Amino acid sequence: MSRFATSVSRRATPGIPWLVRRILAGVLVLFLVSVLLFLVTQALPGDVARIILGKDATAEQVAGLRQRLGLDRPVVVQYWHWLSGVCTGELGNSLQNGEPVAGVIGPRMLNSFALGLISMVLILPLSVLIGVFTACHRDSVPDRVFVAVSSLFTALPTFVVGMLLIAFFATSALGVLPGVSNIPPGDLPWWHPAELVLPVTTLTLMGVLYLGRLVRASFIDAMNSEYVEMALLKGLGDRRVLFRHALPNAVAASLPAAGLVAAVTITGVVVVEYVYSYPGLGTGLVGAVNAHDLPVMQACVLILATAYYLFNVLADIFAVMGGSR
Amino acid sequence: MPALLCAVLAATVLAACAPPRRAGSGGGTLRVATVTDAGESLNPYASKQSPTQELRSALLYEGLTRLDPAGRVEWALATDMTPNADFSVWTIKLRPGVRFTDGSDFTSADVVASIRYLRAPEHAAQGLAFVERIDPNAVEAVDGLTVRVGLSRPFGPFREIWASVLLPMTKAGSAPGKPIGTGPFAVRTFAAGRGSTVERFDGYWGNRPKLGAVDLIEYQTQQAQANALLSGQVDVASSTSPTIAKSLVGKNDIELLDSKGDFTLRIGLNTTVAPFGDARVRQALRLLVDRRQVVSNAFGGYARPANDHEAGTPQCPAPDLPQRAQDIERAKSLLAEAGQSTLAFTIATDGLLPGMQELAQVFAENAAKAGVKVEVSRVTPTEFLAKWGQWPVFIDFNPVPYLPTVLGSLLPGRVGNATHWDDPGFVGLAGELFVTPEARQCPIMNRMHGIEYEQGANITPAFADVLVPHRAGVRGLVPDVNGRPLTFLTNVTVGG
Repeated sequence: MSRFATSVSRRATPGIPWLVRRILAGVLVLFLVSVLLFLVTQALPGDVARIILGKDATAEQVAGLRQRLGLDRPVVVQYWHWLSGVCTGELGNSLQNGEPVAGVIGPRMLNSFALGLISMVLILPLSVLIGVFTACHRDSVPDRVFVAVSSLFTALPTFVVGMLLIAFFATSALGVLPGVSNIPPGDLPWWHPAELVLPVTTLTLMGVLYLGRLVRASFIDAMNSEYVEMALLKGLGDRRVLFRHALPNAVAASLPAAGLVAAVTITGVVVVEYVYSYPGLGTGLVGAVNAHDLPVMQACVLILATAYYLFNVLADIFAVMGGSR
Repeated sequence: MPALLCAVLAATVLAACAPPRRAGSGGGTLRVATVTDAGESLNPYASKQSPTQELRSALLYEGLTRLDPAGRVEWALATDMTPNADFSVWTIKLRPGVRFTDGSDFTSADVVASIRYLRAPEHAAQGLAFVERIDPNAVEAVDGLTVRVGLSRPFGPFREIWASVLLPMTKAGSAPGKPIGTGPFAVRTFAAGRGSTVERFDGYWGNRPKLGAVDLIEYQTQQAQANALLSGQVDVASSTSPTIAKSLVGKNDIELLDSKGDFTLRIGLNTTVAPFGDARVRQALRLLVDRRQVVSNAFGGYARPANDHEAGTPQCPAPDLPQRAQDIERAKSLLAEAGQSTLAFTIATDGLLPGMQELAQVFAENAAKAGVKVEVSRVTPTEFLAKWGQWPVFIDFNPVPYLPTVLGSLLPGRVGNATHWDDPGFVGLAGELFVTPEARQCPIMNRMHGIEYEQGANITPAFADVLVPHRAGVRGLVPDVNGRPLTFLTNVTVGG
């Protein structure tokens, strides 16, 4: 991202042609992702028809199902059938239960995006707040604690953080929050705020501890810059220097990273959902992989990849804007 | 005025955000954590059914007979089954006054339709192996409450077979789309892979449950089930490993229902792969097992030693064969006799159930004492299934009573018989068993157990308990010898 963004920023402010090129590149990337996923699923051990029918089915029954599902056709034909369906808005049916894919993943998509969005809404202001505060109190106890804790949590896998939070807040110590985050079918996630607390906290914690450090570093750079020194020499007040000069530049420098954090958060929900049994795209994807349910798997991956790509583009745009600034 | 507008707007937004009120059911709701099954459906005849689907089916549907918690067969939708002289035609009398959950009467037409659906090969019903002897063209309704069933081959244990959860009766024409049953509960909500709610059917013919509803909430892992139980989100965890069970008991008022039954995890030896076709090798491998170590290490003490044969029945307990114990020297001697002193092989397991991988590892340790090199290979469930019937040595499980076990996995040619064991003596006795009146079946079964013990292709070291942790407020649960205690909810209540 950064190399690309830098090259763009050297040229000019992003325009419509640049955006169109990025979107076309994104479509190409998604196409390649779908081809790769299709090939990977073909290489996985196990026959989908056998998985659906179970071990008690006879070879004739398995062959019959393979034919009904179109699995006996050449791989290219199967892929074309799926791709042409996607292009016309028809995602096909789940191989596991015959339900339309849109119906299977629709509610899950809403749950995942709600989780990601709430987390991002918390991550961005908290990162700025903590980053600026620790930068302003550099080498103080809170600053040292923040740096130490963020180093520790950045080194920990997300699922470990999730398990620690479950043990502390739900099952072993305090017992004040739900240990799993089941959203009943048909319910909207925000109807169950208690169930959202721990997954959102996990994502927010990981995001804030990473982005907060970047904001802190940017802010320290800004405070050491010549224009801030000049402003101070001109006799401007500390508050004015801080909020009118240093802060906007520090935040602008951190915005590309914020776009990336958003992308990582969207894909990070896969792990968080699994840890908390949260019914989103991540848990849907894990189930689809286990069952070789290609249509559901493709849809989940493409949605996550699209979100990831869009946030990357956003990060590029911020980077370019920052460069032109 | 602007303040009023803001207040109205806020109230509207809050109302839109609030969950709809759910209709309550008198008698309380039991919340049960179950295993996620994205491929599940409401069809009780589906070709592959997870424990979650089987549990829900047991609450929604009934068979002609059923098993009580002690494993005894009792009448359910039938009140009598009478064979002709050679057991080739059975006449079934149905219980009068039974209604489906949609209010319609249960009649012989529904039984005929259910049997024909089960028997049609294209439906690939999981219970097909149990009813293969039924001639679908010879199933007819004699009158509204009588059905005559003709068989292609005589079959005596007809009554026992219908107790399987895989052979329920549904309303004619309702399966597989929206099957309607006669059970004590009816479906209120269902979302595949997420959960379902069943509510009490007040028109049920038998003892109505005290519970108003049962929520089956699906979780991807046993640990998630345990977490949900610990944090009070569910009342019961339907499946748990011994390790997790031990960690739960005593915490947050959690109790453990321990069903000591006939559930077996077994090591299958493929008799078509050398050297496992040699009975001496199979016996030697059985002599390597330290069964007490299996019980304590693989099952955390929640098991009892088994004797390389399946369990008996309440009417016919297993024969009093000498308990096989570890005998390394005898095992070495048998292996030397068979020319297999340097035997080495791999055990494949998908680790689907608690104890599977642990059993393989304990066996590998035991075998090393005799110089037999055993490796344990953990494969994915899909890969395990894909090569079903080809693995030389594998971990299998058996949750069903003896007669369905014989029909489903001990006779040659059955898909469930991945060992391909084909013992003429056993097959002959099974044929004899199938044409013998119930009262005279016991000696035959004992002889069959004896052949399993001497010649069988499964190493069956232990009968594992089925553990169901639950909150102390849940009362009335009963242990079940077949390991399905949550299908007996009649007297269950949920406290505060």
